[in-house]
Amino acid sequence: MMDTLKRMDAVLLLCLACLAALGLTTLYAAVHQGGLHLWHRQIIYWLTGMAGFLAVCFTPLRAAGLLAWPAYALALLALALVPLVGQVQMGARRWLDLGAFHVQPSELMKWALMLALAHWFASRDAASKKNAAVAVAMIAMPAGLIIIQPDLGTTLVLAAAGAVMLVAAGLPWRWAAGGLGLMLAALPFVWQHMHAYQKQRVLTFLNPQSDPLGAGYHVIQSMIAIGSGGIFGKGFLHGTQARLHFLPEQHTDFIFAVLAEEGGFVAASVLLLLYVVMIARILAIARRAATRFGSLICIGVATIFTLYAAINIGMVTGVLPVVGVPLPFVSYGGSALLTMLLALGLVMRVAIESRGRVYWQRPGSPLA
Amino acid sequence: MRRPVKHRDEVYARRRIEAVTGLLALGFALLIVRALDLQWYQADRLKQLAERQRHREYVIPAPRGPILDAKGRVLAESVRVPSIAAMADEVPAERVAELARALGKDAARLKRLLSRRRGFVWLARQVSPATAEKVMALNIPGVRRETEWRRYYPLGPATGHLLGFVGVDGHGLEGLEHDLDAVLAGRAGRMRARRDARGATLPGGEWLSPPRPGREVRLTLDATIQSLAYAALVEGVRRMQARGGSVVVMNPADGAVLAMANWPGFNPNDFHRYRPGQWRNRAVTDVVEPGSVLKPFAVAAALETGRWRRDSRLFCERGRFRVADYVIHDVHAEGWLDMTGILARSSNICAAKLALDVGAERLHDMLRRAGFGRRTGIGLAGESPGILPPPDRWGPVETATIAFGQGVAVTPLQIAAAFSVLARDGQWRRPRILAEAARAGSDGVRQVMSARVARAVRRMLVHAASPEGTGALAVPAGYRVAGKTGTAQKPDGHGGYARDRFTAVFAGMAPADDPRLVIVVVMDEPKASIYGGKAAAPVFRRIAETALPYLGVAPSPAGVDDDWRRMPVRAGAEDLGASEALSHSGALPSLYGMSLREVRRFAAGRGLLLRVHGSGWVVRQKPAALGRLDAGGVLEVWLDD
Repeated sequence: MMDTLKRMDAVLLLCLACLAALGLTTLYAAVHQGGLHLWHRQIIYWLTGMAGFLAVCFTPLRAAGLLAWPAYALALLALALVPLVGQVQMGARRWLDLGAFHVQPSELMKWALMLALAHWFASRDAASKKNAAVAVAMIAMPAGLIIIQPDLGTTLVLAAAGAVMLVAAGLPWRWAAGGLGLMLAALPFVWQHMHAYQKQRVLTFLNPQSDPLGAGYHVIQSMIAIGSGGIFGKGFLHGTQARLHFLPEQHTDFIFAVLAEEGGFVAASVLLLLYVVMIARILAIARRAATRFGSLICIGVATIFTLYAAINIGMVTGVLPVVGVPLPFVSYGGSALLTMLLALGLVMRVAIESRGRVYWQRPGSPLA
Repeated sequence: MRRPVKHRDEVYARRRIEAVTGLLALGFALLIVRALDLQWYQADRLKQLAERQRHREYVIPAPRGPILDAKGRVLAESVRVPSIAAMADEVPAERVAELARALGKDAARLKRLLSRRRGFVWLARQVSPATAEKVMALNIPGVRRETEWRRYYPLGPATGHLLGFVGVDGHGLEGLEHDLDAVLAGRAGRMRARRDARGATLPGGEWLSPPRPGREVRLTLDATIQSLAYAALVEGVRRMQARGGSVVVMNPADGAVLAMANWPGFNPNDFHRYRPGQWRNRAVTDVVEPGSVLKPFAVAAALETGRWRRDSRLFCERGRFRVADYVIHDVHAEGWLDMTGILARSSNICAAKLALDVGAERLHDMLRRAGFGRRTGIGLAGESPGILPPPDRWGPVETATIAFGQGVAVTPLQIAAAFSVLARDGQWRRPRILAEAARAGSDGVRQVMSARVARAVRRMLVHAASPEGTGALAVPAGYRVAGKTGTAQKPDGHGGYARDRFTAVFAGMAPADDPRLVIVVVMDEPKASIYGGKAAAPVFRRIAETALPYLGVAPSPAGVDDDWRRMPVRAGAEDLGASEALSHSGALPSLYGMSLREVRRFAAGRGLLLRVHGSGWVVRQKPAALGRLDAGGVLEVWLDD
């Protein structure tokens, strides 16, 4: 017990603590006007999530291996059920009603796919055409089910995370380049089959000023918020964009704008630095992992975190189209926080099981 | 499934991990670059944007300056009135009916108004405070009360034409409000208030520039005289069934216009309800043929030559006089008349003979200097210069007819200014409406005739406004009036004169010895009586008999013998006494209001048989159209007190 706790990665824990502090502070700034109950709830989510995190830390990684395929199958089944019995929200069927609570199968699938891919390549060579083809099918099936919901954002995250894991698992570069080329070639076809609102989002992203009060409003307002924060920000609870309700969704998807407005570039950099340290640490754990399975899990988690952070911040700063992706550990929301903490628990478990292992270092490696 | 990692694999895997690390690091690097781009490079621009959108600039209208009369009484002022506006998208649909009831508007129309736009809409502008209270008491989200300035004219129709009115945007559209807009209009203030994204203004705010109220304008007008002049005019118009009319009251001493009123009237507090034609200030914009009121100037021109004196006598040709191919008639055939008689009896023929003797050049010069044919320059927009043909185009006929006011066109204000010349010893002074304008200085002052001539003509005009003259009805009990009647056929628009449309004029001054008031009354197409002496003179008297005591001029008992007994108990019951109308030939529409003595004279002059019922004044006659009666016909009248 104590042994396990001692073997935990201190840097990762410290990063997590800092993120929790920064996230809760930012959330307070976003909701302190009339939404304090959300902040209280988020603290509960954190406590719950940390309990789950610890639970995972004490669970042998083998359990994850055992769970990988059933989880994947279950998630796929749920995804297949969504078009049949799913709940319609905002014109898309994304949720399953399980009585007590709602489940978004696409969210489950991200992590299940990560586990399944890690397990698939744990003992297989990615350079084999057959293995690679199976992996691609593992990615394509849920991606296809999610895109018809329709949920473009999650599809892209899923596909990108899967692709990165393929590459990490050793997919020959030639094949990776070929796949990328194929996807680019398919873009016009995809465009034709996109829903009007999705096209609208992409078009708005390309030129937000074309509709400053409509679809482009969110992005323009968040860019104004971020930019007007300047280097040092307007001060805690002094962001005019947030306080005067110019910022939309300021406690969920657009919370980065609150941070950047009130804390300026300094606070934004601190957050990005925390992410970078955390991702780097996870990848370091991946490198010294005792098993290929653990290594790939770490890479998957790092990839998903990075994608979330990058897509969210890219969207809020106006370099990516608006897709509903939370900012890890900062955005309000229970299920996203819970799953991310569980995922981080897996990483920590890998670290615990790999403790004491002196990993091989390539001279001159930037990660040395 | 747990497979030991072999060395070769391990190296390979590490490379891949580093590749992935690089990829992810690239992503974060891009984010940092973007953050720097926004927060450093574009920071100033975006800060400005944030600043601009969280502030909203409001234009706070400034009140117009008040318009005051000579004694500082308010003729026009701006008062705060509530208006009801709404943020259209915030008003709940289920409360529209309630709102419509409170506003007194149609619910369906209101609903349409609210659905047309999302933001700010006016629901009802300039409503009564009670309505505003009622609406705000409903406490409907999105409905707001705004304060606007509204122009208020306490005297209403009495000052309507002169002052004009102001549009919703706060700028004068007509009258003095328009002419003096630069002075009266304030400069709207600009306020910057913070607001949130929903458009709600947060309390507080700062002035970018405070509103600057317009400056006040003080007129020479006297609110009391203006009111009573308007009332007298309206009453006269009604009694005479005239199409319109104008009154100008001036103080001859300084040219100050004390009153200027017109009919048809309109209420400037609600100007929308009237036709633009009713907005016109006819006293300066419309011209009339002055008729006999021009004769004093012909006489003055004659006296100025030195060849004619007050007691010079002329033969009036017994009512018919030929000039070139034109025959001049007198309505009342006369024989020999002195100058006073010419004016008192209003002989066209004698005036024409005087003019022919004086010559076109001199007569034109006299009229020109008296201010006819050019704008007075009082400073009211749309002032007409009138028409005074140049003397080189005057033949004998024109010279003769202009002497009694035909072939020229003048404004009521020009007549008032010209009669002021007679009142202030021959000096013409520019009439003024603004109190501060040209108070002193010789600008706009010129000698038209010698003081001696002016006084002489004035004395003659006392006789014209006496029972022996045509303007007896103009004289209030206890005062002496110098004045002249005028009756002119209206041009028919085809170069000739309409037979049945007349302009009746009375111009005069009181008290005659030391004129304090010059009053000009013009009646457009009076029907009950066409003559200046009957249609216009009573209005003069009504104004004079009220305004003179108001100005502190007490009536003097040294008046005409019967004066005091003639004082009316009830306004309007007594006007039609002696008049010039009696002996006039032609289309006399009515004997109504005449005394028995006058009717007898009329009948005798026409050789009519008369049947009389009752006593007092004529209330009914038979036949109604007197023109059809030939000598020997029977005229039946009913008289009543």
